[in-house]
Amino acid sequence: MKSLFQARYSPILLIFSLLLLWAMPARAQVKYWVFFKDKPDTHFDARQYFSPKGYERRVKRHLAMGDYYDLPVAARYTEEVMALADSLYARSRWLNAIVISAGSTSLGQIAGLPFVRGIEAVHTLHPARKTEDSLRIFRIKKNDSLLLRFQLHRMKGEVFKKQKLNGKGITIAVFDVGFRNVDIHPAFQHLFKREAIRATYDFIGDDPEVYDRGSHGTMVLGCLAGVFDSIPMGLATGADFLLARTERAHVEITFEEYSWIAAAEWADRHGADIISSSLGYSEVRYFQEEMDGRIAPISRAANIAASRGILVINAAGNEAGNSWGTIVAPGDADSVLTVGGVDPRSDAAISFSSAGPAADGTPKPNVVNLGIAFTSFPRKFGTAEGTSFATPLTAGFAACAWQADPQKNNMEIFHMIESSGHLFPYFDYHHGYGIPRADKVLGIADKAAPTFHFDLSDAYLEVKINEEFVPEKDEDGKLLTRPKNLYYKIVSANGKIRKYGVVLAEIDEPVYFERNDLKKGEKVVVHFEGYTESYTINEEP
Amino acid sequence: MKNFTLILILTAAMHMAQAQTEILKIDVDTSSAESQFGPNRRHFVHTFMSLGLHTQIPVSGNYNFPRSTYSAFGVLYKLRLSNYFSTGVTLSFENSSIRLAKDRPVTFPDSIRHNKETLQQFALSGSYYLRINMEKRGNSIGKYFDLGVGGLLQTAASYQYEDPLQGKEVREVKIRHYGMLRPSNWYLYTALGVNNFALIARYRMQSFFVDNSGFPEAPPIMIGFSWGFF
Repeated sequence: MKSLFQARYSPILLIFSLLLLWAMPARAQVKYWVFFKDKPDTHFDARQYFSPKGYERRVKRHLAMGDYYDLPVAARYTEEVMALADSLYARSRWLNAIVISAGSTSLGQIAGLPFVRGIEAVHTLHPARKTEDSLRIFRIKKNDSLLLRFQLHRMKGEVFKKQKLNGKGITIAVFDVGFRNVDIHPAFQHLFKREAIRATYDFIGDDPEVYDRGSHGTMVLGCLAGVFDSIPMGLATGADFLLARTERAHVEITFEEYSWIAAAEWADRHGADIISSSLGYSEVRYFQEEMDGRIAPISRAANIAASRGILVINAAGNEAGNSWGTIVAPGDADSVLTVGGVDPRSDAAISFSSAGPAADGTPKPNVVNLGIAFTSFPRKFGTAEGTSFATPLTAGFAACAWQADPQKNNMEIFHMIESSGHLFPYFDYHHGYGIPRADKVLGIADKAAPTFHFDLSDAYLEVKINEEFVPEKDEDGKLLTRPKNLYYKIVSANGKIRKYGVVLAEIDEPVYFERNDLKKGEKVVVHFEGYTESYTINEEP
Repeated sequence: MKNFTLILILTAAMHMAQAQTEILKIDVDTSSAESQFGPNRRHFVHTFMSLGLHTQIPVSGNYNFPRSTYSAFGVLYKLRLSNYFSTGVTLSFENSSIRLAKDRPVTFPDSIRHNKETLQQFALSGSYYLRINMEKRGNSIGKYFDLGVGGLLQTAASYQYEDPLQGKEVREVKIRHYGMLRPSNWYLYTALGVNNFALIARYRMQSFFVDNSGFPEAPPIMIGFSWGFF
């Protein structure tokens, strides 16, 4: 063998050079969370910390001021860490943590400080797949016009309108990738006219300007409070807004989670009642089994935001068609109202809408809304797809519901929205409790009459739709009315959903469940046309 | 619970005896199994393509190796040991195209200065590697550093050259089953990667040519990049 170890270019030198090249830019950018154990020697001045509106909100909603989460990070801890670290990037009083950069030796020393609870890397740059909403920009066609009217009607928005409920007095913080042209777009001029956009901040660029980049926020805000040709596209046209840019487009940077957390603290300080967030974090940093609301910092912060009296509404994610499949953070947090998407054509879950539950079994999504919506684009109007748009539609609904009953706290509104879902009390992991309805949340909906009944035979459990609900047909057998969805689930004796689905009840035949497929103690729950009933299997087939 | 598969069934469902149209059907039990396969799961397999250049530095004084290229297509298996360590193997089909430029009259492969002279080697290659990953991450590859060792088995080799004739005509000669290249070899391997993309380098541990004194040596180092398809 002719050895080449004598060659003048040693592989060790090559490996070392490549490693240096690779590691240098990474080392220069790595940031770390440093979590502290407590907050000694800190004090809190509420009037100094909160904006007048933020202070007013805490008082009005009888929320505590100056508790553990309100207290700042201990200055002494920060100073001691910074004596070892290179740079300080941010502080989070909610997580009792700071974000720093430091060399590995210093990190070891910091980890050894007696008041440090833990250290976690923050910055991970991945040019990875992001959950993208699908954009279809059209000229205004008949279908778009129908969708525009339908997207609010589906929530019985006309009931809110009749009662002059438009979110007035409610402040909604919207977190997104940017709000390009919102300041000049005709859809939002009414907001500027009455100075409804109370504050803006770009947490990525550290700058108050949010109107110069990112289209997604423009589209999301359209579904909250935009107006097309005097027709509202969202329900919260009377609300006030805080706009925060917390995310970059096209790359997935874990530091965005910090931006979201910083924005949530900012929103609390400025008196936000609702956070509408059409963002989510998934496989770049987490596994599905970590989506339990306790691991992702953003989910922990979202729960803290809820404890501050803020109703946090987040998109479920558009992951159903890929390997992730399930809810994205912070939608996994139990106090976050997580919103999935339905197809307005079928009224069933839209193909991309992430399914629950959270990894710890928390039922998710909580509710759904239209996953295709008519909205504003930076230079036009059009139709967009994604749970990103179901979320602001629901946030607008929440603002009206809260305006109607301002004495309620955020979690009471949370549960009111759940119980106003068109499927409630039926629930499954694709549809949650269904699409919130204004008449139900205001308590003026008619009580649903039975629309079907169960019939048990030796071989089947039959669900027979009552005659008046069977779609009518003409002489040729053609349907005269659109067939309705029948939602069903099979719940195991231990209370877990084992199977569920949607059947299009279009023929005059019962829906059958084979007895062999149903075990003793299991429950079949069916929802059809506003009516929910269950049947418990009392004996083995 | 996780990885729900949305099944849109437009025909009758298995447990529905009649012809009602089922537009969504989810079996939670079967769709909730935790996957063992994925970029940062226990097992991961993906195909890859690599392109590179053999270093153009003359190893033997009378020869240069301008624009000598390397290409490969293969499959990689990764076994996750922990968040930070994994190991695996690759199997690929590769081609090395070694361009020769003679500075002075030499005797190998022949004594003539040709217009263009190329040695081609096709080979099956396999390697074993250890991977160090950086940072906590979810089901993604993330940043990594590979160190490996591999061997190749030549499947075909050729020597071809071009010489100018009258006018624009050229004479191309290709000698197949060329016997002067070493039929098997081994190498050290390293890669620095982020998700699908990696910078790669290889160091050949044996001479490119068969052991006959007086033969030159081709550059032992190849540097390139690799793109994983997943």
